[in-house]
Amino acid sequence: MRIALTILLLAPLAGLLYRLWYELSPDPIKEIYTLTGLGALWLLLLTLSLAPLQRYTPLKLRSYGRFFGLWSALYATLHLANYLGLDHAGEMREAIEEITKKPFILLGGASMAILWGLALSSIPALFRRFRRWHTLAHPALWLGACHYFMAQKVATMSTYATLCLVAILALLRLRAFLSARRA
Amino acid sequence: MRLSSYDVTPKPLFEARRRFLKLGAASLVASSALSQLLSEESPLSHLTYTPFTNPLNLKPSNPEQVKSYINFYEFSIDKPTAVNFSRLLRPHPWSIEASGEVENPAFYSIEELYRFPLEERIYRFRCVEGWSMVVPWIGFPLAHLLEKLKPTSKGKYVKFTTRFDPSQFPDQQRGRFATIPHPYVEGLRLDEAMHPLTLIALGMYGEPLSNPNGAPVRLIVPWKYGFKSIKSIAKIELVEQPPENTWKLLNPKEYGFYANVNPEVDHPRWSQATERPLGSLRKQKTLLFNGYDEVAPLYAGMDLSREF
Repeated sequence: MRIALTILLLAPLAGLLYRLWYELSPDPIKEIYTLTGLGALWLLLLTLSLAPLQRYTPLKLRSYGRFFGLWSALYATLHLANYLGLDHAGEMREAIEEITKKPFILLGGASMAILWGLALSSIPALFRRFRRWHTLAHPALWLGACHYFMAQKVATMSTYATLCLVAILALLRLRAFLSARRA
Repeated sequence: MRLSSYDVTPKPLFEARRRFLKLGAASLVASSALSQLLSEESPLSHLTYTPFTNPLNLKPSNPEQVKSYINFYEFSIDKPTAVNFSRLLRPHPWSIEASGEVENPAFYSIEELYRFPLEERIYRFRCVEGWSMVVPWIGFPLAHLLEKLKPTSKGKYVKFTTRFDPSQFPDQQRGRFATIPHPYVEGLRLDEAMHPLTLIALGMYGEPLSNPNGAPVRLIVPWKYGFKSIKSIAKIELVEQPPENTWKLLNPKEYGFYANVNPEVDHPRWSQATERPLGSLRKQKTLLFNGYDEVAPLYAGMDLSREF
Protein backbone atom coordinates (compact mmCIF):
# COMPACT_ATOMS: atom_id res chain seq x y z
CA MET A 1 0.00 0.00 0.00
CA ARG A 2 2.74 2.44 0.99
CA ILE A 3 4.64 1.66 -2.19
CA ALA A 4 1.58 2.48 -4.30
CA LEU A 5 1.06 5.71 -2.37
CA THR A 6 4.73 6.63 -2.75
CA ILE A 7 4.46 6.25 -6.51
CA LEU A 8 1.27 8.30 -6.48
CA LEU A 9 2.94 11.10 -4.54
CA LEU A 10 6.09 11.06 -6.67
CA ALA A 11 4.13 11.25 -9.91
CA PRO A 12 3.26 14.98 -9.71
CA LEU A 13 6.90 15.80 -9.01
CA ALA A 14 8.02 13.68 -11.95
CA GLY A 15 5.44 15.44 -14.14
CA LEU A 16 6.75 18.80 -12.98
CA LEU A 17 10.35 17.82 -13.75
CA TYR A 18 9.28 16.66 -17.20
CA ARG A 19 7.57 20.00 -17.88
CA LEU A 20 10.58 21.96 -16.66
CA TRP A 21 13.05 19.85 -18.62
CA TYR A 22 11.15 20.30 -21.89
CA GLU A 23 10.41 23.98 -21.13
CA LEU A 24 6.67 23.45 -21.35
CA SER A 25 5.73 25.81 -18.54
CA PRO A 26 5.06 29.48 -19.29
CA ASP A 27 5.73 30.49 -15.68
CA PRO A 28 7.92 27.72 -14.21
CA ILE A 29 8.74 29.32 -10.84
CA LYS A 30 5.04 30.00 -10.23
CA GLU A 31 4.17 26.47 -11.32
CA ILE A 32 6.67 24.97 -8.85
CA TYR A 33 5.21 27.15 -6.09
CA THR A 34 1.66 26.08 -6.84
CA LEU A 35 2.34 22.35 -7.09
CA THR A 36 4.62 22.05 -4.06
CA GLY A 37 2.61 24.52 -1.95
CA LEU A 38 -0.79 23.00 -2.60
CA GLY A 39 0.76 19.54 -2.26
CA ALA A 40 2.22 20.34 1.17
CA LEU A 41 -1.02 21.97 2.35
CA TRP A 42 -3.34 19.19 1.16
CA LEU A 43 -1.05 16.46 2.50
CA LEU A 44 -0.96 18.12 5.90
CA LEU A 45 -4.72 18.48 5.75
CA LEU A 46 -4.97 14.76 4.96
CA THR A 47 -2.54 13.86 7.77
CA LEU A 48 -4.63 15.70 10.33
CA SER A 49 -7.89 14.29 8.93
CA LEU A 50 -6.79 10.73 9.69
CA ALA A 51 -7.62 10.92 13.42
CA PRO A 52 -11.19 12.26 13.01
CA LEU A 53 -11.75 9.87 10.09
CA GLN A 54 -10.79 6.97 12.32
CA ARG A 55 -13.00 8.26 15.11
CA TYR A 56 -16.11 8.72 12.99
CA THR A 57 -15.68 5.90 10.45
CA PRO A 58 -14.60 2.25 10.67
CA LEU A 59 -11.40 3.05 8.71
CA LYS A 60 -8.07 2.28 10.41
CA LEU A 61 -5.92 5.13 9.14
CA ARG A 62 -4.02 6.65 12.02
CA SER A 63 -0.90 4.64 11.32
CA TYR A 64 -0.50 6.61 8.09
CA GLY A 65 0.01 9.87 9.97
CA ARG A 66 3.80 9.75 9.87
CA PHE A 67 3.83 8.71 6.20
CA PHE A 68 1.67 11.60 4.93
CA GLY A 69 3.21 14.04 7.41
CA LEU A 70 6.69 13.33 6.07
CA TRP A 71 5.47 13.73 2.51
CA SER A 72 3.93 17.07 3.42
CA ALA A 73 7.27 18.16 4.91
CA LEU A 74 9.04 17.06 1.73
CA TYR A 75 6.69 19.07 -0.54
CA ALA A 76 7.04 22.08 1.78
CA THR A 77 10.83 21.77 1.68
CA LEU A 78 10.77 21.82 -2.14
CA HIS A 79 8.52 24.89 -1.91
CA LEU A 80 11.10 26.63 0.29
CA ALA A 81 13.92 25.49 -1.99
CA ASN A 82 12.09 27.17 -4.89
CA TYR A 83 11.86 30.39 -2.86
CA LEU A 84 15.57 30.43 -1.99
CA GLY A 85 17.10 28.74 -5.02
CA LEU A 86 15.05 30.06 -7.96
CA ASP A 87 12.85 32.95 -6.84
CA HIS A 88 15.78 34.59 -5.07
CA ALA A 89 18.48 32.71 -7.01
CA GLY A 90 20.57 32.16 -3.90
CA GLU A 91 20.55 35.84 -2.85
CA MET A 92 20.10 34.95 0.82
CA ARG A 93 20.15 38.52 2.12
CA GLU A 94 17.36 39.59 -0.23
CA ALA A 95 15.35 36.47 0.61
CA ILE A 96 15.63 37.05 4.36
CA GLU A 97 14.84 40.75 3.97
CA GLU A 98 11.65 39.83 2.15
CA ILE A 99 10.68 37.33 4.85
CA THR A 100 10.76 40.13 7.42
CA LYS A 101 8.90 42.56 5.11
CA LYS A 102 6.10 40.29 3.87
CA PRO A 103 4.00 38.71 6.63
CA PHE A 104 2.68 35.99 4.34
CA ILE A 105 6.19 34.64 3.80
CA LEU A 106 6.85 34.75 7.54
CA LEU A 107 3.72 32.65 8.17
CA GLY A 108 4.89 30.09 5.61
CA GLY A 109 8.34 30.04 7.19
CA ALA A 110 6.89 29.44 10.67
CA SER A 111 4.82 26.56 9.32
CA MET A 112 7.91 25.12 7.64
CA ALA A 113 9.89 25.29 10.89
CA ILE A 114 7.18 23.35 12.73
CA LEU A 115 7.04 20.70 9.99
CA TRP A 116 10.79 20.19 10.15
CA GLY A 117 10.69 19.85 13.92
CA LEU A 118 7.93 17.29 13.69
CA ALA A 119 9.63 15.39 10.85
CA LEU A 120 12.79 15.12 12.95
CA SER A 121 10.98 14.05 16.11
CA SER A 122 8.96 11.46 14.19
CA ILE A 123 12.01 9.19 14.22
CA PRO A 124 10.68 6.26 16.32
CA ALA A 125 13.42 6.64 18.96
CA LEU A 126 12.43 10.27 19.53
CA PHE A 127 8.71 10.03 18.90
CA ARG A 128 7.89 8.60 22.31
CA ARG A 129 9.44 11.60 24.02
CA PHE A 130 8.01 14.21 21.67
CA ARG A 131 4.64 12.65 21.03
CA ARG A 132 2.70 15.47 22.70
CA TRP A 133 4.46 18.06 20.59
CA HIS A 134 2.90 16.61 17.48
CA THR A 135 -0.32 18.46 18.12
CA LEU A 136 1.70 21.42 16.76
CA ALA A 137 0.86 20.05 13.32
CA HIS A 138 -2.48 21.86 13.75
CA PRO A 139 -1.00 25.36 14.08
CA ALA A 140 1.33 24.45 11.18
CA LEU A 141 -1.76 23.80 9.06
CA TRP A 142 -3.41 27.07 10.13
CA LEU A 143 -0.26 29.04 9.34
CA GLY A 144 0.05 27.29 5.99
CA ALA A 145 -3.58 28.00 5.14
CA CYS A 146 -3.18 31.73 5.95
CA HIS A 147 0.01 31.81 3.89
CA TYR A 148 -1.86 30.24 0.96
CA PHE A 149 -4.81 32.62 1.23
CA MET A 150 -2.55 35.70 1.34
CA ALA A 151 -0.48 34.58 -1.62
CA GLN A 152 -3.47 34.57 -4.01
CA LYS A 153 -4.29 37.64 -6.08
CA VAL A 154 -7.96 36.72 -5.85
CA ALA A 155 -9.36 33.87 -3.74
CA THR A 156 -11.16 31.25 -5.85
CA MET A 157 -13.66 28.53 -5.01
CA SER A 158 -10.84 26.04 -4.39
CA THR A 159 -9.16 28.52 -2.01
CA TYR A 160 -12.38 28.80 -0.01
CA ALA A 161 -12.98 25.03 -0.12
CA THR A 162 -9.52 24.38 1.29
CA LEU A 163 -10.00 26.99 4.03
CA CYS A 164 -13.38 25.43 4.87
CA LEU A 165 -11.80 22.01 5.40
CA VAL A 166 -9.08 23.55 7.55
CA ALA A 167 -11.75 25.30 9.67
CA ILE A 168 -13.79 22.08 10.10
CA LEU A 169 -10.67 20.24 11.19
CA ALA A 170 -9.82 23.00 13.66
CA LEU A 171 -13.33 22.79 15.16
CA LEU A 172 -13.10 19.01 15.49
CA ARG A 173 -9.74 19.39 17.19
CA LEU A 174 -11.15 21.97 19.57
CA ARG A 175 -14.03 19.65 20.44
CA ALA A 176 -11.66 16.75 21.11
CA PHE A 177 -9.50 19.05 23.24
CA LEU A 178 -12.46 20.26 25.31
CA SER A 179 -13.89 16.79 25.90
CA ALA A 180 -10.43 15.54 26.92
CA ARG A 181 -10.21 18.30 29.50
CA ARG A 182 -13.62 17.52 30.88
CA ALA A 183 -12.79 13.84 31.32
CA MET B 1 24.67 35.40 -43.29
CA ARG B 2 22.58 34.96 -40.18
CA LEU B 3 18.84 34.90 -40.55
CA SER B 4 16.60 36.30 -37.84
CA SER B 5 12.95 35.44 -37.44
CA TYR B 6 12.22 38.72 -39.20
CA ASP B 7 13.90 37.54 -42.40
CA VAL B 8 11.28 34.85 -42.78
CA THR B 9 8.52 35.72 -45.23
CA PRO B 10 5.89 37.56 -43.19
CA LYS B 11 2.83 35.41 -42.67
CA PRO B 12 0.41 37.82 -44.45
CA LEU B 13 2.66 37.89 -47.48
CA PHE B 14 3.10 34.11 -47.39
CA GLU B 15 -0.65 33.66 -47.17
CA ALA B 16 -1.24 36.19 -49.92
CA ARG B 17 0.98 34.11 -52.20
CA ARG B 18 -0.82 30.95 -51.22
CA ARG B 19 -4.15 32.61 -51.81
CA PHE B 20 -2.99 33.79 -55.20
CA LEU B 21 -1.92 30.27 -56.11
CA LYS B 22 -5.16 28.82 -54.81
CA LEU B 23 -7.18 31.37 -56.75
CA GLY B 24 -5.23 30.55 -59.88
CA ALA B 25 -5.88 26.87 -59.39
CA ALA B 26 -9.51 27.49 -58.56
CA SER B 27 -10.11 29.60 -61.66
CA LEU B 28 -9.05 26.60 -63.70
CA VAL B 29 -11.63 24.45 -61.99
CA ALA B 30 -14.74 26.57 -62.04
CA SER B 31 -15.76 30.15 -61.55
CA SER B 32 -18.21 29.09 -58.80
CA ALA B 33 -15.32 27.65 -56.81
CA LEU B 34 -13.54 30.96 -57.26
CA SER B 35 -16.37 33.01 -55.88
CA GLN B 36 -16.66 30.60 -52.95
CA LEU B 37 -12.99 31.04 -52.10
CA LEU B 38 -13.32 34.80 -52.25
CA SER B 39 -16.34 34.81 -49.96
CA GLU B 40 -14.43 32.80 -47.35
CA GLU B 41 -11.93 35.62 -46.96
CA SER B 42 -12.28 37.04 -43.49
CA PRO B 43 -11.78 40.78 -43.36
CA LEU B 44 -9.58 40.16 -40.31
CA SER B 45 -7.20 37.70 -41.87
CA HIS B 46 -4.32 39.99 -42.71
CA LEU B 47 -2.74 43.19 -41.50
CA THR B 48 -0.48 45.60 -43.33
CA TYR B 49 1.91 47.44 -41.08
CA THR B 50 5.28 49.16 -40.83
CA PRO B 51 7.84 46.88 -39.15
CA PHE B 52 9.51 48.09 -35.95
CA THR B 53 13.20 48.94 -35.78
CA ASN B 54 13.41 47.42 -32.27
CA PRO B 55 15.92 49.92 -30.86
CA LEU B 56 16.03 48.14 -27.48
CA ASN B 57 16.76 44.87 -29.29
CA LEU B 58 14.07 43.00 -27.34
CA LYS B 59 13.51 39.34 -28.07
CA PRO B 60 9.80 38.51 -28.41
CA SER B 61 8.44 35.82 -26.08
CA ASN B 62 7.21 32.47 -27.37
CA PRO B 63 3.88 33.37 -29.08
CA GLU B 64 2.19 30.16 -27.90
CA GLN B 65 2.91 31.14 -24.29
CA VAL B 66 1.80 34.72 -24.88
CA LYS B 67 -1.50 33.39 -26.25
CA SER B 68 -2.09 30.95 -23.39
CA TYR B 69 -0.68 32.63 -20.27
CA ILE B 70 -3.26 35.38 -19.87
CA ASN B 71 -5.66 37.01 -17.46
CA PHE B 72 -9.15 37.52 -18.80
CA TYR B 73 -11.60 37.47 -15.88
CA GLU B 74 -14.59 37.92 -18.21
CA PHE B 75 -13.96 34.26 -19.11
CA SER B 76 -12.43 32.83 -15.94
CA ILE B 77 -10.04 33.55 -13.11
CA ASP B 78 -8.09 30.42 -14.08
CA LYS B 79 -5.77 31.03 -17.02
CA PRO B 80 -6.28 27.75 -18.98
CA THR B 81 -10.07 27.94 -18.43
CA ALA B 82 -10.07 31.54 -19.65
CA VAL B 83 -8.22 30.54 -22.82
CA ASN B 84 -10.77 27.79 -23.38
CA PHE B 85 -13.84 30.03 -22.86
CA SER B 86 -12.33 32.78 -24.99
CA ARG B 87 -13.66 30.81 -27.98
CA LEU B 88 -16.98 32.43 -27.13
CA LEU B 89 -15.63 35.85 -28.08
CA ARG B 90 -16.83 37.03 -31.51
CA PRO B 91 -14.36 39.68 -32.67
CA HIS B 92 -16.26 40.34 -35.87
CA PRO B 93 -18.43 42.33 -36.41
CA TRP B 94 -17.18 44.84 -33.85
CA SER B 95 -17.27 48.57 -33.39
CA ILE B 96 -16.17 51.03 -30.76
CA GLU B 97 -17.94 54.13 -29.59
CA ALA B 98 -15.74 57.22 -29.16
CA SER B 99 -17.58 59.92 -27.25
CA GLY B 100 -17.76 62.10 -24.14
CA GLU B 101 -16.07 65.48 -23.91
CA VAL B 102 -15.05 65.64 -27.57
CA GLU B 103 -15.93 67.81 -30.56
CA ASN B 104 -16.24 64.88 -32.96
CA PRO B 105 -17.89 61.88 -31.36
CA ALA B 106 -17.93 58.87 -33.69
CA PHE B 107 -18.41 55.15 -34.09
CA TYR B 108 -15.56 53.18 -35.62
CA SER B 109 -16.08 49.75 -37.09
CA ILE B 110 -13.13 47.40 -36.69
CA GLU B 111 -12.52 47.72 -40.45
CA GLU B 112 -12.19 51.48 -40.06
CA LEU B 113 -9.68 50.98 -37.26
CA TYR B 114 -7.66 48.69 -39.54
CA ARG B 115 -7.38 51.60 -41.99
CA PHE B 116 -5.33 53.70 -39.54
CA PRO B 117 -1.62 53.56 -40.51
CA LEU B 118 -0.60 50.47 -38.56
CA GLU B 119 2.84 49.90 -37.13
CA GLU B 120 4.58 47.18 -35.18
CA ARG B 121 5.82 47.96 -31.66
CA ILE B 122 7.92 45.44 -29.74
CA TYR B 123 7.22 46.26 -26.10
CA ARG B 124 7.96 44.84 -22.70
CA PHE B 125 4.81 43.84 -20.80
CA ARG B 126 4.87 43.46 -17.02
CA CYS B 127 1.98 41.85 -15.13
CA VAL B 128 1.27 42.94 -11.55
CA GLU B 129 1.40 39.21 -10.66
CA GLY B 130 5.16 39.24 -11.24
CA TRP B 131 5.59 37.69 -14.70
CA SER B 132 6.67 39.56 -17.79
CA MET B 133 6.95 39.12 -21.54
CA VAL B 134 7.97 40.86 -24.76
CA VAL B 135 5.32 41.15 -27.47
CA PRO B 136 5.42 42.54 -31.02
CA TRP B 137 2.09 44.39 -31.04
CA ILE B 138 0.53 45.90 -34.16
CA GLY B 139 -1.55 49.03 -33.88
CA PHE B 140 -1.48 52.81 -33.91
CA PRO B 141 -0.82 55.49 -31.28
CA LEU B 142 -3.96 56.35 -29.34
CA ALA B 143 -3.00 60.00 -29.95
CA HIS B 144 -3.96 59.59 -33.65
CA LEU B 145 -7.50 58.68 -32.65
CA LEU B 146 -7.72 61.39 -29.99
CA GLU B 147 -6.60 64.02 -32.51
CA LYS B 148 -9.56 63.10 -34.70
CA LEU B 149 -11.96 63.21 -31.76
CA LYS B 150 -10.69 66.62 -30.57
CA PRO B 151 -11.11 66.54 -26.77
CA THR B 152 -12.77 69.66 -25.37
CA SER B 153 -11.31 71.55 -22.39
CA LYS B 154 -13.37 69.30 -20.11
CA GLY B 155 -11.82 66.14 -21.53
CA LYS B 156 -9.09 65.57 -18.94
CA TYR B 157 -9.10 61.79 -18.71
CA VAL B 158 -9.73 58.95 -21.14
CA LYS B 159 -12.04 56.20 -19.94
CA PHE B 160 -12.01 52.78 -21.63
CA THR B 161 -14.74 50.16 -21.26
CA THR B 162 -14.71 46.50 -22.25
CA ARG B 163 -17.64 45.16 -24.27
CA PHE B 164 -20.57 44.11 -22.10
CA ASP B 165 -22.21 41.09 -23.74
CA PRO B 166 -22.94 38.14 -21.43
CA SER B 167 -23.42 35.86 -24.46
CA GLN B 168 -19.71 36.30 -25.23
CA PHE B 169 -18.27 36.86 -21.75
CA PRO B 170 -19.59 34.21 -19.32
CA ASP B 171 -18.52 35.94 -16.09
CA GLN B 172 -20.79 38.85 -17.06
CA GLN B 173 -23.78 36.48 -16.71
CA ARG B 174 -23.15 35.90 -13.04
CA GLY B 175 -24.56 39.14 -11.69
CA ARG B 176 -23.45 39.78 -8.13
CA PHE B 177 -21.53 36.50 -8.07
CA ALA B 178 -19.24 37.73 -10.85
CA THR B 179 -15.52 37.74 -9.99
CA ILE B 180 -15.16 41.44 -10.88
CA PRO B 181 -17.65 44.26 -11.43
CA HIS B 182 -18.57 44.34 -15.13
CA PRO B 183 -17.92 45.86 -17.56
CA TYR B 184 -14.18 46.26 -16.96
CA VAL B 185 -13.10 49.92 -16.90
CA GLU B 186 -9.68 51.50 -17.22
CA GLY B 187 -8.49 55.06 -17.48
CA LEU B 188 -5.55 57.29 -18.34
CA ARG B 189 -4.80 60.93 -17.78
CA LEU B 190 -5.02 62.77 -21.12
CA ASP B 191 -1.25 63.38 -21.25
CA GLU B 192 -0.62 59.67 -20.64
CA ALA B 193 -3.11 58.78 -23.34
CA MET B 194 -1.47 61.20 -25.79
CA HIS B 195 2.03 59.83 -25.12
CA PRO B 196 3.48 58.34 -28.33
CA LEU B 197 4.16 55.00 -26.58
CA THR B 198 0.45 54.48 -25.83
CA LEU B 199 -0.93 52.13 -28.42
CA ILE B 200 -4.29 50.96 -29.66
CA ALA B 201 -3.37 47.39 -30.58
CA LEU B 202 -5.22 45.39 -33.24
CA GLY B 203 -2.69 42.61 -33.75
CA MET B 204 0.39 40.79 -32.51
CA TYR B 205 3.06 38.59 -34.10
CA GLY B 206 1.93 39.75 -37.53
CA GLU B 207 -1.65 38.58 -37.03
CA PRO B 208 -4.88 40.06 -35.69
CA LEU B 209 -5.14 39.84 -31.88
CA SER B 210 -6.03 36.38 -30.65
CA ASN B 211 -9.15 36.07 -28.50
CA PRO B 212 -7.28 35.39 -25.23
CA ASN B 213 -5.19 38.52 -25.80
CA GLY B 214 -8.20 40.83 -26.12
CA ALA B 215 -9.42 40.60 -29.71
CA PRO B 216 -10.18 42.57 -31.75
CA VAL B 217 -8.94 45.81 -30.16
CA ARG B 218 -7.13 46.57 -26.92
CA LEU B 219 -5.01 49.19 -25.22
CA ILE B 220 -1.27 48.80 -24.63
CA VAL B 221 0.46 51.06 -22.10
CA PRO B 222 3.91 49.48 -21.81
CA TRP B 223 5.13 51.37 -18.71
CA LYS B 224 2.14 50.34 -16.58
CA TYR B 225 1.13 47.00 -15.08
CA GLY B 226 -0.75 44.81 -17.53
CA PHE B 227 -4.18 45.33 -16.01
CA LYS B 228 -4.17 48.93 -17.33
CA SER B 229 -3.99 47.57 -20.89
CA ILE B 230 -7.72 46.87 -21.18
CA LYS B 231 -8.93 44.21 -23.63
CA SER B 232 -11.81 43.93 -26.13
CA ILE B 233 -12.69 47.63 -25.97
CA ALA B 234 -16.24 48.77 -26.73
CA LYS B 235 -16.06 52.40 -25.67
CA ILE B 236 -13.49 55.20 -25.41
CA GLU B 237 -14.76 58.33 -23.64
CA LEU B 238 -13.20 61.63 -22.70
CA VAL B 239 -14.25 62.53 -19.16
CA GLU B 240 -13.56 65.29 -16.65
CA GLN B 241 -12.90 63.17 -13.52
CA PRO B 242 -10.47 60.24 -13.14
CA PRO B 243 -12.37 57.06 -14.10
CA GLU B 244 -12.82 54.45 -11.35
CA ASN B 245 -10.74 51.65 -12.81
CA THR B 246 -11.88 48.11 -12.02
CA TRP B 247 -8.94 46.85 -9.96
CA LYS B 248 -8.81 50.02 -7.89
CA LEU B 249 -12.54 49.63 -7.30
CA LEU B 250 -12.01 46.02 -6.19
CA ASN B 251 -9.12 46.68 -3.83
CA PRO B 252 -7.95 50.30 -3.50
CA LYS B 253 -5.26 49.37 -0.95
CA GLU B 254 -3.52 47.12 -3.46
CA TYR B 255 -4.22 48.68 -6.87
CA GLY B 256 -4.16 52.35 -7.78
CA PHE B 257 -5.16 54.52 -10.73
CA TYR B 258 -1.62 55.00 -12.06
CA ALA B 259 -0.24 51.44 -11.70
CA ASN B 260 3.13 52.48 -13.08
CA VAL B 261 5.66 49.64 -13.06
CA ASN B 262 7.95 50.43 -10.14
CA PRO B 263 10.39 48.04 -8.44
CA GLU B 264 10.54 50.34 -5.40
CA VAL B 265 6.82 50.26 -4.71
CA ASP B 266 5.78 46.77 -3.64
CA HIS B 267 2.35 45.26 -3.90
CA PRO B 268 1.28 45.20 -0.23
CA ARG B 269 1.53 41.41 -0.18
CA TRP B 270 4.41 40.66 -2.53
CA SER B 271 7.57 42.26 -3.86
CA GLN B 272 7.71 43.94 -7.30
CA ALA B 273 11.52 44.24 -7.36
CA THR B 274 12.00 41.39 -9.82
CA GLU B 275 9.99 39.60 -12.50
CA ARG B 276 9.72 36.19 -14.12
CA PRO B 277 10.07 36.35 -17.92
CA LEU B 278 7.69 33.87 -19.59
CA GLY B 279 9.17 30.40 -19.90
CA SER B 280 12.27 31.25 -17.86
CA LEU B 281 13.63 29.83 -14.62
CA ARG B 282 15.79 32.94 -14.24
CA LYS B 283 14.27 36.09 -12.82
CA GLN B 284 15.28 39.56 -13.89
CA LYS B 285 15.23 42.96 -12.24
CA THR B 286 12.11 45.03 -12.82
CA LEU B 287 12.85 48.53 -14.15
CA LEU B 288 11.18 51.80 -13.18
CA PHE B 289 8.43 52.53 -15.74
CA ASN B 290 9.24 49.07 -17.12
CA GLY B 291 12.36 50.60 -18.68
CA TYR B 292 10.50 53.39 -20.53
CA ASP B 293 12.29 56.32 -18.89
CA GLU B 294 10.88 58.78 -21.43
CA VAL B 295 7.57 58.82 -19.56
CA ALA B 296 9.20 60.06 -16.32
CA PRO B 297 8.36 63.75 -17.03
CA LEU B 298 4.64 62.84 -16.92
CA TYR B 299 5.04 62.16 -13.20
CA ALA B 300 7.49 64.92 -12.23
CA GLY B 301 6.88 66.06 -8.67
CA MET B 302 4.52 63.19 -7.85
CA ASP B 303 5.15 60.86 -4.89
CA LEU B 304 4.99 57.54 -6.73
CA SER B 305 4.72 55.51 -3.53
CA ARG B 306 1.53 57.36 -2.58
CA GLU B 307 0.08 57.62 -6.08
CA PHE B 308 0.78 54.03 -7.08
